[in-house]
Formats: sequence, structure tokens, C-alpha cells
Amino acid sequence: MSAWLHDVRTLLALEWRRERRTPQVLPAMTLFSIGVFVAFRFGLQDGSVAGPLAAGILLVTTLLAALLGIGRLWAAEEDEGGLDGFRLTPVPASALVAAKALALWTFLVALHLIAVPAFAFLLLSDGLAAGSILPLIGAVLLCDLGIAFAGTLVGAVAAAARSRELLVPLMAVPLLIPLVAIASEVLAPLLTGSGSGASPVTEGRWWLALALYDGVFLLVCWSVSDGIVED
Amino acid sequence: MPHARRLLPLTLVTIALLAVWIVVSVAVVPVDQTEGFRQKLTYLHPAFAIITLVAFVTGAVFAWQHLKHDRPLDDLRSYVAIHLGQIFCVVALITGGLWGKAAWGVWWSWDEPVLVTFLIIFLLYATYQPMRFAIEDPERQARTASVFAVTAGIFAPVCFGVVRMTTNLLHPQPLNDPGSNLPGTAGLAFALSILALGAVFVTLWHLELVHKSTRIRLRKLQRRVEGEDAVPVVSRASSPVVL
Amino acid sequence: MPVPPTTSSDPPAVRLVDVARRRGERMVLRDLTLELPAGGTLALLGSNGAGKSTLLRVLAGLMRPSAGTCEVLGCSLPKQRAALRGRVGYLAHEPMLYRDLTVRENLVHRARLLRVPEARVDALLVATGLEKRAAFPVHALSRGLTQRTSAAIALLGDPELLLLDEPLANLDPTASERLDALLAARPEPIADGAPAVAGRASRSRVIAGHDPDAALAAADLVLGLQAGRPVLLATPDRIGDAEIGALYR
Repeated sequence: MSAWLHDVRTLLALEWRRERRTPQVLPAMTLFSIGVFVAFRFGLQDGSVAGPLAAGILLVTTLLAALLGIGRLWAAEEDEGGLDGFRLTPVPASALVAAKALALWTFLVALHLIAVPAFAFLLLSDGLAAGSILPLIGAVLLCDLGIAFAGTLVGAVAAAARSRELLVPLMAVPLLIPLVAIASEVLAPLLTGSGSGASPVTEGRWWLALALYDGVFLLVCWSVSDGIVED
Repeated sequence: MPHARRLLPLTLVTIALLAVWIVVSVAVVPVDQTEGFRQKLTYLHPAFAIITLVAFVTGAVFAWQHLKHDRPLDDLRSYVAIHLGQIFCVVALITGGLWGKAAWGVWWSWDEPVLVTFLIIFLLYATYQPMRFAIEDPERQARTASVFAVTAGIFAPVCFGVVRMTTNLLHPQPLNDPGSNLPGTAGLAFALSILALGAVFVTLWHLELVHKSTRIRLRKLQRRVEGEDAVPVVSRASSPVVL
Repeated sequence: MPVPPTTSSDPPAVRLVDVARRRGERMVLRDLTLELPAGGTLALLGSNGAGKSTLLRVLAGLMRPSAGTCEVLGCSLPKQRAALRGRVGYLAHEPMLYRDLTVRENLVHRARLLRVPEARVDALLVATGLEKRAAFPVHALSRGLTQRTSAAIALLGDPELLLLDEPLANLDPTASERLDALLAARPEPIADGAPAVAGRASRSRVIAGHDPDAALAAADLVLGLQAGRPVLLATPDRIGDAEIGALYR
């Protein structure tokens, strides 16, 4: 087990080292998100949103930005022979898949560290209630985890194909619609702003649903990891 | 080829079931008091929906087998099941619209979890062929397609659950609502619709399987007679499959 | 740690019985039957597209054989593929390197996955003459230097079997000589005083190439492929110009 964790850490460190060396994914996702916020402001003719509308904007923007990260996730393994090189080592396929999912998750969390405050600043009508900050962080972490698992699968499948730039959005969006649906229910009460007085609360079943969605995709990732990596 | 031997009996059984179904649902079941003739559409849409799910789950099961045992036949079975599932899915969406129009006057409603789920599933499975044919190496194509099929097959019920959870239900759900048991002959017609369509699916599945593997065999013979390069490479995954 | 020399009780490095590999509906390798004893060198000859690279990939455990019995270092492929991992060094046609990382980073990363100490990375950098370019990103290297980096990676795990796909292509004479010594079946200290990299006394090798003379000089066994079929399988002393010529016709 500790050997497996050590391998995952090594592989995850590689992802972050490559991103630090040539920053591409994070800056792209961040700038893209802000651009989309601006587009929404004009598309909706409303620069001040709350509740479900706010949740929707934040989630759809996250979804679209994540597509950029998903597309790049397996690119080096595919184009630069990293997958073959990996398969010459005794490290199990599950470690690589886990590392990729964790990498995508950490990229998305890093994105949200900037994007959520930016969103609150630019578009959220009453700002964030103090009581909703912690649940909001939890929601973002869980939501990003779901996107990471589903995105790792989509990225791996699309990486093998010639038309991967087209396939990633086409495959990822339907897979992530249920996540958007659940996360919207989770986020909407949290984004109703500080003016409402009472501390906003999300129903427990939505948290459970979010965790279950993450769990299902974790299981799928795990069970097909050999199929993704091996020949 | 055992699959080929089953074709004739399967076709006969299917025709028989279809005939019985049509007779029962049109002539035998009395016309419903409230909804009129259009209630008979009840037997079409859910049946197509159920068989679509059966097809996609079958595709996922064979894909899983393929990932486990690496037999090309499993990949072909999975491909055919999903292919048929896509067709049934489109018909399910269309009949769903027709039913909605007949029952509530609208072609589309976001309050119909089945319809919405099937739209999402349709969008997902629509990427199956583009994905397959964009991968050149046949073994890789088969394996990647299997990963997709397993993922999508598990996703389908998850999607339905989530959509149901997030939908405000206004319309009667004959599939899920315990209150509305279809009485007597109506229930029979409903069961028959599922049986008949299931038989159609199984027969078409066998038919397409036999058709494809015959062509593979033909190409193999051609290659043997005329040489390796005489036959152009087919873009679809085709490992030599002997049934 | 001293590695005991190979004895005759070691399983053959490679044992193939009627091995075939299909690509879709076409056969790209077929009817391959041969046995390479431990410590031996097999030379693969054949024109482009004959199936040499495919065979190397099958032996590396990267591609599974479609038919036949395939045993590499005593491991039956594809079932015992996992047991083979880390024991084979593969120098492929395409470098398996991350282009935006440096030479050293690539080596260290692979060393960690292979559970090899970092000291070995330093030793290999010196042995391959890359110590001055260790901080260069791979995309800035010439083809020859990239080749040397790939060779260093192939040697990282002190493999029992080396699979080499045209290892000396793109190299200048000095580098070629140096690499040839490093990749030898029985590695010796290099003449210019650079220390030999510690490792096993001898290893098995399969070398694919286009130079029949070099192949005959280095090999214990020669396999000639034509359109995926073996047309020549003999020891070098039994091969003359006629056989070689027929292979490339």
C-alpha cells in the first residue's frame, strides 16, 4: 500500500512539475473562467445574480474550464510516449489513473481559489454570507472531485483518438450534467447572499448525492484503469 | 456458426410476438375513458425506453467481458448492442414526444425524467462511433470503446436517478407511480410491448452480428486468395472473429 | 551488490513458439519460433515494415501476442506481464521522454518508478556523457543526445534483457562507440577512464537494425523477417551474403 502511495506521489509530482515548468493549464482555465463570467454578465443582461442563477453560472463556467484541463491531462502520455515508458515499470495502472485524477482535482481546486472569489466579486449580488464559506469550500472540493474522476476517464478515452479536441467536450458534458444538477442544488442556498439573515443550509440529501456521484465515478475509474493504460 | 442457426427461429418468434402485441393493443384492450386512443401510445414509449437501457447495459456487460478476457467477439457484441441501443434511443425520444403531445399537448417537457435522461444518454452515446473511428489501432480502438461502454452503461442509471431527484414531477409516471396500476388487458399489452420489442432487439442483434462476422470472414478468405494487400483496411474495429 | 553470473540453469531470455501478432484483420507477425539462451544476443534484420519493431514491443510486454507461446525471462506473456516489468530495458525508435523536463528530471522520475537509487542516475549521466547537459530540457537536445538519454533510461533498472531498436542511429562516432560499450552484453569500463556503471555481469539482448555486418559481429543468433514472417534464423557463421541479400530483396 505504501509503495502504491509512493508511486502516486511520484506521478502526481511529475504533473505539477510539468505544469510549473510550462504553465499552460492553470492560467488558461483561470483566464477562461473570468472571460466566461463577463460573457454571462452580458448574455444574461444582469451583473448581479444570486441563488440558483449564481450556482448555474459558476457551475457551467467550471464545467467549460475543466474541459481545457481534461484535454491536456493525458496528452503527454499519448504524444510523448509517456504511457509506454510507464508500462515498462512495475507500477500498477491504478496508480497512474489515481495520480491523473488527483492532478486534475488539484488543478481545479487551484482554479477555484481564484475563480470563486472573482465570481463573488464580479457577479454575486450580496456577496457571501460568513456561514456559507465553509460549506462552499466543501461543495467546491466535492464537485471538483467528481469532475476529476469523470474527466480522467474522458481524457484517457479521448487521448487515444485523433479528434480528441472535439471528443473531450462532447463526452464530458453529458457525463457531467448530473453533477451540475446536484451541485446546483448544493450551491444555490449557499449563494443566496448575506442579506437573508438566517444561515443558508443545503438539504442533506444533496450532499449525499454529490458524494455518491463521486463514489460511482471513483469506482468506474478504478475498475477500468487497466483497460485505460494497458494494451 | 451458432448465432446464425438461431436467426430463423428468432425471427419467427419475433414476428409472432409483434403480431400478438399489435392485435392485443389495438383491438383487444378497450379504449381508455379519459385519455382516449392515445393512451395506447403508453405501450410504445416506455417499451422503447426500457429496451434502450437493456441494449446499453448489454453493451456494457460485453465490454466488461472484453476488458477481462480480450476476446474480439465480445467487442463486436458490445458494439452491435450499443449500435442498436442508439437506434432504439432515438425512437424512444420521438415516441416520448408523440406521447407528450397526445397526452399533455407539448412535444417536450423538462418535467419528464425519462425523456430528459434519454436526451442526455443519447448525447453521450452519440460520441461512440466518432470516438471509435478516430482510433487507428484496432486493438486499442476495441479496448478504449470497451472502457467507454462500461462507463456509459454505469452512468445511465445514475443519470436517471439524478434527473428524477432534481425534477418536479407533474405528470403521471406510469412506470414508477405505484398508484396507477394498468388494469387487466392494458397491463397485458404493456408486458407484450416489452416482450415484442425485446425480441426485435435480440433478433436484430443476432442479425447484425452474423452479417458483420460474415464480412470479416469474406475479407479473410479474400486475403488468403489474393494476398495480404488486396483488401483495404477497414476503418471500423475488426479483429478476425470466428463465431 | 555483485550480481552472480548467469548459469545454464537460467531460463532462456526469449522463448517463442508459433508466436503471431495481429493488427485488426491483418497478421503483422506470424510463425515465430526461436529460443535465445540467457546472456545471448539476437539480431533482428529485415526491411522497413518487416515487423522488427512490433516484435520488440511484444517482447517488452507492451503488446500482447495474438497467438502462440511467448516467454520472456521465464515470464509467460501476456499473463505474467506484471512480473516482467522493470526487468527489461527498451530503447525504442521514438524517445519515451517528457519534452519539457530536463534530462536529469526524466531520469530521476523513471528511477523512482523503478525503485532505483538516485546515485545510479548520476553514474549513468556520466557514463553516457550527458552530465554537462543534464539540466537541458529534452526538447532542446539534438536527436543524438536524445538517443543517449533514452539509452540511459533503458539502462536505469539494470535490466536482464535489453531490447534495442536501431540503438546507434543518429550518433556521431565517439558517442556511438561509447554507447556501444554501455549497451554491450558484457559491459566493460570505457577506455577514457569513465567508470563503468555497476550492474550485472552479462545480459541478454535483442537488437534490431539495418546493418547486417554489425549484426553478424555482435550476435549469437540472427533472425531475418520479411512481411512478418521469419525467413532466416541461424547463427552468424552460417549466414553469408546470399542470405542477407535475399532478405532485403
